[in-house]
This record gives sequence, C-alpha cells and structure tokens, in this order.
Amino acid sequence: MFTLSPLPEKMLSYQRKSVTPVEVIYSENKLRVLKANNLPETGKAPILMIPAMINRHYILDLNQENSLFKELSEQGFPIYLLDWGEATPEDRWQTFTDIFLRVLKRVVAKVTRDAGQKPVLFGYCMGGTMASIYLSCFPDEASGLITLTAPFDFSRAGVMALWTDKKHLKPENLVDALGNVPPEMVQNGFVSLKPAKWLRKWETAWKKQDNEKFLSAFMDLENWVNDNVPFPGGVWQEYIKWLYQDNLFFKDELMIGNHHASLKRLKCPLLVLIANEDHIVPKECAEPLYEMAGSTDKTVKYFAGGHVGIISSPKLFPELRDTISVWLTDKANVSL
Amino acid sequence: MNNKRDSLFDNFITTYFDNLWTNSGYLDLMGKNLDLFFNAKKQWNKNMENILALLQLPNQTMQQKILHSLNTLIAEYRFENEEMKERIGQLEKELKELKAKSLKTK
Repeated sequence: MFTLSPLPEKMLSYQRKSVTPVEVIYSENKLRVLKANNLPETGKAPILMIPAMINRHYILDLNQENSLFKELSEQGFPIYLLDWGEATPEDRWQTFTDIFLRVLKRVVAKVTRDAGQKPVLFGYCMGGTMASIYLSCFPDEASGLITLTAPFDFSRAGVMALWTDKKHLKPENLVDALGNVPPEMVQNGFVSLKPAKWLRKWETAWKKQDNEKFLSAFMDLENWVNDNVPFPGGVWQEYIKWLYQDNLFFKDELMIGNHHASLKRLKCPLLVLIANEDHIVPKECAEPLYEMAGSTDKTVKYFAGGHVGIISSPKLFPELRDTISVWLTDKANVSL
Repeated sequence: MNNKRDSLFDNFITTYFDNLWTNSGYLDLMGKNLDLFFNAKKQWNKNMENILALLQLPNQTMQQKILHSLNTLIAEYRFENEEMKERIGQLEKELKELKAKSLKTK
C-alpha cells in the first residue's frame, strides 16, 4: 500500500491545537482580548501582549514548548493577548489613528479594569511600534513597556525600506485599488527577502522528518507563517506613509489626532529586545527606541537569532523567556 | 563536498536576490507596473460604481463605509455601556456599604 513520508503526511493532516486555556474578556468588531485562565492570581504585574496586525496572534502561544503567553501565565503574571482578528472589506476604512485613539484606548481600559492595575505593554514586531506610539501619546496608561524586534528608524529598515520607498510605492494607490492589503502580498514579500533560507528550511525539514518532535514544532511554525491575515487598507496606508516613507515617529514629528507621539514622553520602565540576525527589522532599525525613550529606567538586550527564530526556536526561546521574566519580577519589586 | 556545494548555491541565490531587490532600475520598473495595475483596477472599480449608480443600486464603497461606521458605533456603544454598568455597580456597592455603616453608628 502507498504510504506518504512523514513530512507530507503531517502537512496534509496538520491541525493547530490551542495551547493555553483562555477566556475572552473583551471583543469588538473582529478583535478579541484573550486572558490566560490557567492559574490563580498572584498580584504580579498584568501584561498585555500586542502582536503585529499582519500575522495571527498565536505566535506568542505557538505550542507547549514555545509559548511566552503560557510560560508567563504559569509564573503567575495575569496575561492578556490581543487577537486583531481577520479584517474584512469594510475594515479598509479603519485608520492608523483610529487604532490608537479608539481601539487600543478601549482595550487598555478593559485590561486595566479587569486586572485592577495598569498593565505592562508587550509588543512584538509592529505591535511593539504600536505599543510605543500608544504610550508616547498616553504615557500614564501602562506601568511598563517591552518591545520585541520592533522597528523605529524606518530609514534603516533594510530592503523593506527600499521596497516601500516613495519612488516605487504609492500606498494610497494600492488601497484605492484593492482595499485591504492581501495576505499573499505581505507573505510573498517576506519569503522573497531570503529565498535561500526558505529552500534550506524545507531541505532541513525533509532530512529531519523522522523526528516527531522536530516535525511537530516545524509544522506549528510553518502553519503560522502561512496563516497571514489581510491588513486593513487605511491602517496600512498611514503606517507605510507615516512610518516607512516619512519616518515621522523617529523624527519626533508623528501626530496621532491632536496627540504628539513623542518617544521623549515615555516614562515607564522600558525593556528593548533585539535579534542580532533580524533581516526584517535590522538591529540598527530597532535600537533608536532605547536611545530616544524618555524613560529613566531602560534596558536593551541583544539575542542571537532572527525575527521569528527569537521567539519560535527551542534553543533561543528559553533565554528570551527568562530575560522577560527576570525583568518583570525585578521591576515589580521596584516600581510597577 | 555537499556542504560546500550547498553553501555556494546559497551564496549565489542570496547575492542574486539581494542585488535584484536593491536594484533601483528593477524597483522603478516594478513600481511602474504596480501603478499601472492599480490604476486599471481603480478604473474598473469606478466603472462598476457608475453602472450600479445607473441602476440606482448602492456600490461597494458605500456599503463598506456604512458597515464600517456601524462597526465603529457598535464598538463604542458596547464599551461605554459596559463601563457605565460597571460604574453603576460600583456606586451601588459603595452605597450599600455606606448604608450598613450608618445603620451601625445609629
């Protein structure tokens, strides 16, 4: 009888299993705020995790071995995860400004009420930039900020900066024509950045396919990588124009409504986490947050690995988890 | 031997694409192609809107804007409503406590 090799068999039969038990404490439109409900409360600082809008939220709760959401909740931190949901055509009219003045404002208020104290905001990739912009507008609304591979100086964003240059890309043209940005467009963009790595990844998977543990972890990540969501057009248009093309946040010129989003206004304790081999957000693009933030208590940590590897690799993940956990515990004893 | 061959292959692919993605001539060409495609799609959308307008039917943009406004208003209403209920609940609790205290002092 014909039998498939483990890799294609796993690809055909793969179904993602939820990792951490959650309850939904708030929802609006497609967005949900999930709270880990697997452990009793300990009075530790609550954490609100904000992922990028282009990817699914579960990169932060990937599998039993690699879940920052699960691990921090097991250490007794009340932890909340923002799931942006999947944008549909009418969400094309949502704007970048709406996200800060309406959506995040409500989400942070809900989390603060639910936890009984201001949360620490944790942002991954674009989520880190968004958390920083939010706290630059409303510095009193969180007790700390952690950013993981989040871009700030967009003029040093490598190839992404070239692709989004004004000379080659008119974001308003794309949004007028297509509405939301198709997930395939973003996904193909990331794969194109390092095509050799993409080929090598599959070669390694083929070679190691008899290792059940490896295969399972590989498919968890591969499923996430290919599970992109449409980017709300209006949000993307302003994100690209204001940050990538005009670099307004870095230049200290970004206005969100009538709020000046200035990093100098940040005053909460800050932890900046940077991946040394990140080709999506090169370290020189992520470092300015640490340099420019007005916080007096700030720390920057560098890790081996790339943009996704830093959080998904079984080798790199423990160091990241421990760094965050130690920082949170230290700050909880001092000022949070 | 295999490793050396793989490494050479990877270097070739990486160098080729790194040069391509940073080549301003190529990016200009791709940018122009994208603009052409987007302009054609915009024209198509506009023609469809005109046809629907002739038939006195709402077009996609109108429907999307209405739905987006509804979503925004519902989100704001539900949030404010829940907040208000929570505040009323808290005030009622405080009132009960005050009443209990005043009964004790009496």
